[in-house]
Amino acid sequence: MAGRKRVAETTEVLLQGNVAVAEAAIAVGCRFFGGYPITPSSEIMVRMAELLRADDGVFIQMEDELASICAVIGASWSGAKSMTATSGPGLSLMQEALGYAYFTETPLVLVDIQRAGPATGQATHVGQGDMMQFKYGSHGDVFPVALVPWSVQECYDLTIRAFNLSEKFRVPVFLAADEAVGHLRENVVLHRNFEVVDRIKEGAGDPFGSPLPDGVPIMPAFGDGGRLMVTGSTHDGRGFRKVDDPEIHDTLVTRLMRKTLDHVDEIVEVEEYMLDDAEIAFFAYGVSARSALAAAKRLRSKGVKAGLLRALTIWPFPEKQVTQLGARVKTIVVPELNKGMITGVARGFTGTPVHAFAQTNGKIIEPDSLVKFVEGLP
Amino acid sequence: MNHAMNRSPVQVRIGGEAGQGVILAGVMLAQAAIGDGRKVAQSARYGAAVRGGEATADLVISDTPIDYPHVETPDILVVFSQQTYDKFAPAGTGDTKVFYDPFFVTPSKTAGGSLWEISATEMAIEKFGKSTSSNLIVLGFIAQLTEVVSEESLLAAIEQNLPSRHRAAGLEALAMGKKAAVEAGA
Amino acid sequence: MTRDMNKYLRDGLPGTRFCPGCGHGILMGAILRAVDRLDVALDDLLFVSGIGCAAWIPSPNIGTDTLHTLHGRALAFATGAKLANPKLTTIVASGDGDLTSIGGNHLIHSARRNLDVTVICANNLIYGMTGGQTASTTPVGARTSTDPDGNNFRPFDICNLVMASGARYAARFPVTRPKQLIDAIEKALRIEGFTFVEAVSPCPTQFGRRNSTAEISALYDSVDSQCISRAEAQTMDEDERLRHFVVGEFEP
Ligand SMILES: Cc1ncc(C[n+]2csc(CCOP(=O)(O)OP(=O)(O)O)c2C)c(N)n1
Ligand code: SF4
Ligand SMILES: [Mg+2]
Repeated sequence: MAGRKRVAETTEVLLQGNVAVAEAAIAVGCRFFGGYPITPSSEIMVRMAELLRADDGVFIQMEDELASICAVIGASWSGAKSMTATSGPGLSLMQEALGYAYFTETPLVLVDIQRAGPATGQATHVGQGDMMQFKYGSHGDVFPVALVPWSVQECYDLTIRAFNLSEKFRVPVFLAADEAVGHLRENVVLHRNFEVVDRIKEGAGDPFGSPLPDGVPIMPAFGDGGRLMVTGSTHDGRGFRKVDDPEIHDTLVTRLMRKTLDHVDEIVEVEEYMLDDAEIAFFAYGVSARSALAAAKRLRSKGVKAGLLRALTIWPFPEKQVTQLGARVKTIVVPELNKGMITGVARGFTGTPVHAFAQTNGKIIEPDSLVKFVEGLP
Repeated sequence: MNHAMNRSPVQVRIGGEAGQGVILAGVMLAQAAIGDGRKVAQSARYGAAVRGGEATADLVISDTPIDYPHVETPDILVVFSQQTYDKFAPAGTGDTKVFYDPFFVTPSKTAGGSLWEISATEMAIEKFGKSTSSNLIVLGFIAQLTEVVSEESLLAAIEQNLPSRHRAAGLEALAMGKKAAVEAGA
Repeated sequence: MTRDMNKYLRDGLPGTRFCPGCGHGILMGAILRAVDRLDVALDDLLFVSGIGCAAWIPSPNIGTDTLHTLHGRALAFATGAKLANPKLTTIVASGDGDLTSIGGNHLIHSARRNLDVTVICANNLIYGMTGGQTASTTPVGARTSTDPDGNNFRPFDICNLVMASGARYAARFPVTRPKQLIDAIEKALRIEGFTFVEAVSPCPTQFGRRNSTAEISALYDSVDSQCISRAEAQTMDEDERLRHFVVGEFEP
């Protein structure tokens, strides 16, 4: 493949997180990228332009983020695995179409390299302030999937997983990354040997109903002869608009919810560190989980039994895992680069005290400040 | 150069102004560390200004996976500007090895750590007529003095990053830095 | 609609949802007749629309692949669909509000990129679906639900707008002149690149009744009588020209 050096399966190379996202997208079969430049995500777009053009894929720089996400949805219906990348302001503009993608069951991957918001905020500095937007940014009930990488290796691995989940469940999937991880350069192995999931194009049932056994309908592409009717209005299994039938609306909204929630065990991934005998646990995600892991080790060296539960999937929320964590430890601390968004969610699933370590200064959390915070807890 | 297994992690910070090759030096050092079979986390900071603002490259180099990816206290600090020297040079005691280019930096008497002077800018201008390879002279100097990366890996990283027409000069700059380090009494 | 157009209609269709006398139904017939003159397989046809009454022209009525999208975004969706599968003959059919106001940026950028699609703009001079509010195409002085005393702002000249943005072809005809309209759509479909047809399509419900032309036939007569050729337009001053529809073809 032109534009790219082949490296052996196990060779570690130095790559930036954003570049690893692009490499992964191509490796898993992404054929379309539509985007609009925004710091700190632009390296993804630049690398996608190089890689797709070298390999007969489609790259297009659109006029704004509204257009980018819509083009991605259109391309997905033409049969191409499709992706866009942006940051907070662009994510805000994309929300209406993201609801459309969800409601029309359009597979796509949206990479959000979070920066310090709201508004233009600090464009070159890190934040984790979009966590609720993935889940609540759209109007109506939506149950999308959001994965959170904490390293460059995971920028690669979770981008692959994001495509696979989106194809399997016909749902938009977010890669909820951040500036620190996106701009970090680290060792990464660009594996080629992984499972690739593709949408099921043919089979029993209609494209918006009569689901296959796991609840996901078939998805033919435009031009395949399916005479598709894709609409963001409420629709029946074939796609006919049904804008007054209460039962059809409720059935559709419920089926789409079940599609993700009935598969939480497959979708939700967490990792445990030093939790066996832990009395205090961090519950963390993304780059903040690295601060937490370093802090937990330092606390242990001072005799404090600390551990970490790390979420690789933040939506659907790891409800069960947080409940179980609460049963095991006396205190939970959630370090995050916002004013406690996920802390609040976690509190809903355990009676154990959950403390926020909320940092919004555009920097990642220093382990020693977490250590001090834990030592100061009652 | 031989590397004993499981050395403790090393934190490196290279500070200067955008355009001095600070970030590229960081990337080459990071690649060299991977060439040595180590783990590395390299990040960069720029000032708000697009041109001529402060630029910093940070590296954590370790034999084991790196938890916290940013530099907390540098073991090795390289400064190409007074501003980054003043900002990052350790106060009082500390084991930080500070490398500075006297063309830009006048060290203060109160700063701690051990001080190493390397006239990279002057050497580069004298040899090549311009200052652009001063970052490579410094890399050669610190590689020799600190063994933070091996010489082979550094050479390989330079080969990988420099376009062929600049390669010979790049390797020469590296050798100049190494020689200066030997002379400085490594 | 004559029988041989039936093959273009979707199976199981109860009928269209347009009000009696709506120009959009006539326009749909014109689009299908133009498509019928081409040699294109139904499976290779994709209709994309935004939101509004006009967006319902293809969706679900036309029995090809249809993509009924978001308000204003039809061309953005079409960009992705067309680029990912260039085989698709892609027709965007949507309203004036949809294409020129909320979606105006996508319109000029698609023309600038010379995206290989044909856009058919059903211009009823108003926001029909939402209750007759002023649009970016409403004539000066026309009454709307948001400008009951008459609109003060100049409307876009959409054909000139897209031509200035790089379109390969544009034409404007009212649905009262179906022969020219069908010919123009056919021509637009045959030209490669970004082509545009503005169909002036009366809306009796929201526009007609507010502008003393509640009688459907009177509305159609009034629209038709306001149509002038480009040559006639040359002889008018701007104010007078703005009270008319300059019909004809615009080529680079
Ligand atoms: C983002 C958004 N804003 C507003 C609306 C409400 N809306 C639906 S149709 C429409 C106007 C459509 O006008 P036009 O495109 O001219 O079509 P017509 O109904 O006149 O044929 C509006 C404003 C919407 N659906 N989405
Ligand atoms: S409101 Fe106007 S545009 Fe909409 S269907 Fe009725 S007549 Fe047609
Ligand atoms: Mg209208």
